[in-house]
Amino acid sequence: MKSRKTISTTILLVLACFSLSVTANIAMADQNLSFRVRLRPHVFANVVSTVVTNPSFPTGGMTVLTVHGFGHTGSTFGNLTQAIFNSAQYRSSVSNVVSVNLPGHGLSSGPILEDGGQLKYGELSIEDYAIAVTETIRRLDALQLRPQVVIAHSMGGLVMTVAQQALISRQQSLGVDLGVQKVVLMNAVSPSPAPFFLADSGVGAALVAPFVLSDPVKGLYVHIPVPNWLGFFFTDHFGNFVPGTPSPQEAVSRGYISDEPFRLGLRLSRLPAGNVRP
Amino acid sequence: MSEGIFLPSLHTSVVVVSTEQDILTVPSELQALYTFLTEDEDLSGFRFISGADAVHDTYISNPNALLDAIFGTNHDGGAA
Repeated sequence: MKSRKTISTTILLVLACFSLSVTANIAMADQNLSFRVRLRPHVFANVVSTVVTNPSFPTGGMTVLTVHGFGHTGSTFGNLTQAIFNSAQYRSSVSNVVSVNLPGHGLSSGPILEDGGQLKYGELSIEDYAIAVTETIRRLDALQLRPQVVIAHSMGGLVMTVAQQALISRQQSLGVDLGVQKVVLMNAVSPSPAPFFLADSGVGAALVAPFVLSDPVKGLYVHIPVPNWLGFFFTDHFGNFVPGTPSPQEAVSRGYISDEPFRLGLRLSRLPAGNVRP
Repeated sequence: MSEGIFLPSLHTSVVVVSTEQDILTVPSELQALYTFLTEDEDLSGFRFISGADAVHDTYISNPNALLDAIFGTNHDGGAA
């Protein structure tokens, strides 16, 4: 049973430390790749990526990996994928676009617990997401689909910087060890200490707080209703929806929208006791 | 987060894209992000997309507006 709850500063106390190690298995079906990724000790997720192959240039071009933002899914990159494949200038450059769904988004599972594992969906962190993406890149490499370019949007940009930081801490990097030649950060969330107005001003907290829900199984999570979701992401400085905004029905039927763990809401918006951005 | 985690020596170039009408991020902070990550004060990998329809999710509503920013020549001279 869901109930809307007020944010409490005590919520962060339940957050636990975890390791960065990963193990995984692979299963392939149609155009979806599912990787079993170890997020933390005894905690796994099935991370599902959708592979779209360029019909006019199926081999010989680069593979592009996309990483979605807060409250989004990999499905949101469908229009961009088609734009690439239809572009006279770039369609002969890209053979595959792989859109990852972060844990708990789209077809990807939330936390899967083995004996001794403890983690609710609402406690998934940006570090868990970074592990999911890094491991996805490794698995794609094993399938001859190593991405040379990563396109990351909004929170996905933060995921990529956290991933790079984690690799560097192990004397690795996206470029040298995983072969990623270019990372494109679209309207990305900035890591601290780089400025991030939405968080630093408190506006982000005000935006997210009304949409925090509680569930006995999932824990605390952020559920943005469709009209608000469209308003956040498709309106201009004057509050007008721009041409090309999907209808509410399209946003739902195309699977654009996802709930988000409360932990991510804290991380991005600096809600009380949430000043723990990387 | 450490500064310079995308220095050229690490072999991953970075492009940071900012859109004019985004209500969630602002160009100045994305410029700062680019410099923070790359230590490139010339902002050669920063791309500003102007336009009345350049919102946070332009990659959905008008993806063609982003293709040059994504795939165009980067500051290191590499097209990819």
